[in-house]
Amino acid sequence: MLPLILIYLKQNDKGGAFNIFDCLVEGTKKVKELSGSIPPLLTVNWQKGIAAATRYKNNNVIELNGSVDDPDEYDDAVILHEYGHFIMDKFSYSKSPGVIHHSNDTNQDIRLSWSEGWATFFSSLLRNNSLYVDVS
Amino acid sequence: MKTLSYNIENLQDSIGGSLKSFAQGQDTEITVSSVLWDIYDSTDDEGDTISLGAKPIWDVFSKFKSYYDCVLEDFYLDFFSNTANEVYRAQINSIFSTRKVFYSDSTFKRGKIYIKNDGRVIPDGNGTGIISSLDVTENLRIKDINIFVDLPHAYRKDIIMSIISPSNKEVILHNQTKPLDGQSENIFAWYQEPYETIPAESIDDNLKGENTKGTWKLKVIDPIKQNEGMLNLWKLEIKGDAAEVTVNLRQGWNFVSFPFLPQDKSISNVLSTIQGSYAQVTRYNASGNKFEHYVGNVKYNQFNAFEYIKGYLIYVTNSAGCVLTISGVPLSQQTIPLKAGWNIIGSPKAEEALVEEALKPLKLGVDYSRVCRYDTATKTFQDYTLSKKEFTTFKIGEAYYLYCVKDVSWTVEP
Repeated sequence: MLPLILIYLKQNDKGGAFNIFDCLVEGTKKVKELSGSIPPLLTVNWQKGIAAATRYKNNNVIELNGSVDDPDEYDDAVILHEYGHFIMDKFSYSKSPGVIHHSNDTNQDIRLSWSEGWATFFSSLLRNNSLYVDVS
Repeated sequence: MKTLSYNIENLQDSIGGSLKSFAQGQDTEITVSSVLWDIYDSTDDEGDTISLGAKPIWDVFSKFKSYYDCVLEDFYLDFFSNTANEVYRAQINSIFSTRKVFYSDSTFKRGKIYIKNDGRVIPDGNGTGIISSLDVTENLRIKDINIFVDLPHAYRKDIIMSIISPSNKEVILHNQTKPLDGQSENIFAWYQEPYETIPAESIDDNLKGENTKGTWKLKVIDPIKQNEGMLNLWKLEIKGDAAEVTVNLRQGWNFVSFPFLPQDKSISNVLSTIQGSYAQVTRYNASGNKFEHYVGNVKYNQFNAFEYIKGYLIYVTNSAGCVLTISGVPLSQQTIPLKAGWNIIGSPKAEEALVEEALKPLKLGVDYSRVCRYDTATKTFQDYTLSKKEFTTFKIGEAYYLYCVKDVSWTVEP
């Protein structure tokens, strides 16, 4: 099986890029196991030292923060959380408002809660680990 | 370097604090993730006695395709639509109960949804387009309305689309705009504010307060020749207050008011459903300090139409009583004069409300001193004063005596 994932390598830090790649390969394997099909081509934009709002951007694009303040390239939980949004976009249907959120927000729009909660669960499922870690 | 971490297994945060102290319910994403994890995982803990793995969760998740509203409650309902999962109901209920899934007070409540499957091709290069009709049977006063449209098209910028309410208010949803960054040419979106696809004109500003009952229309035009598309379906999600109420009237005098009135406010029209069951309608003219009557005879009628906020006495002749259905356009904000002394008023609220709340901004003891309710069952009056409270609420559709201590202007908010 060849997972159809593309990563732009714009700088020398290939370690970060390959960790992202590695996470998504595992994610793709699991989705294949569950759904019987391989997800469509996914592009991840990440650049060491360059700030970006980590998010699934729709249209099969994930953006990851590369800033020194809050780098996400080794935050497997975060990477796979965004991958969970991609999988929701492709295999389910999300009408999440897609706004800024945090994990224990109260009175959140329940559609946003479903979307974000699914993504966090799916991240844990793919890592087989209930701990969600975001190093900054 | 800081680390944000939490554990969806036992809801412990990174510094050992318990997230359990925070609100839970389906309006927190951590609840959603922890419920799914409890269903999936092999570790049993509080409220969690099952380990179903990923497949049954995926099976529900992957059914949330296209036309579902995807929230945790839908997951719950869909999980049990597979009868094989019924054996897990007690355990799933236990997990949902522990996480207080259905006990939260979310700001988001799903509205009533009406769906129209259309399936017509939109005439290409045609300035008339198509009109798709959808009948809404429930009569609500709109507080929030969202419109979902599934319209595959090769070039979205061709499309002009609008929604038309039963009262013929037209709001443009799409006006030949191209997709936003990341969107496809196909329209498959909720037009809603402030989220998702922002309509060309404000739906809320134009349709809030409208009545829902009647035929809604979606008009789609593709005036530019070349690229084609079709209207698969569209749906309305409506949230609102009831704009219709039924009032049980007994034989004899009944104190009635009208929170909703149709465009034709004539008494004969408003009371058409109880035609033959009543003999007289009476109102109190506080300025003239006299009662005025409607008896269905132009020669003797002293008024012919109902007004919002005013209270009326209807004399029912039918020994079995009758049921009056009141519907129409709800009251909007207005200011009415009240005279010192007795007035007969109706509740300005579209739902049952506490007496003093309904009468705001008037103040008990300052603007008025006494409110009286006629109990049709016992044929006696009940008092509401500073010292005596024999009833506590204004009921929708009822009328009351109000004793004002001075002339006042009452600005009512529905």
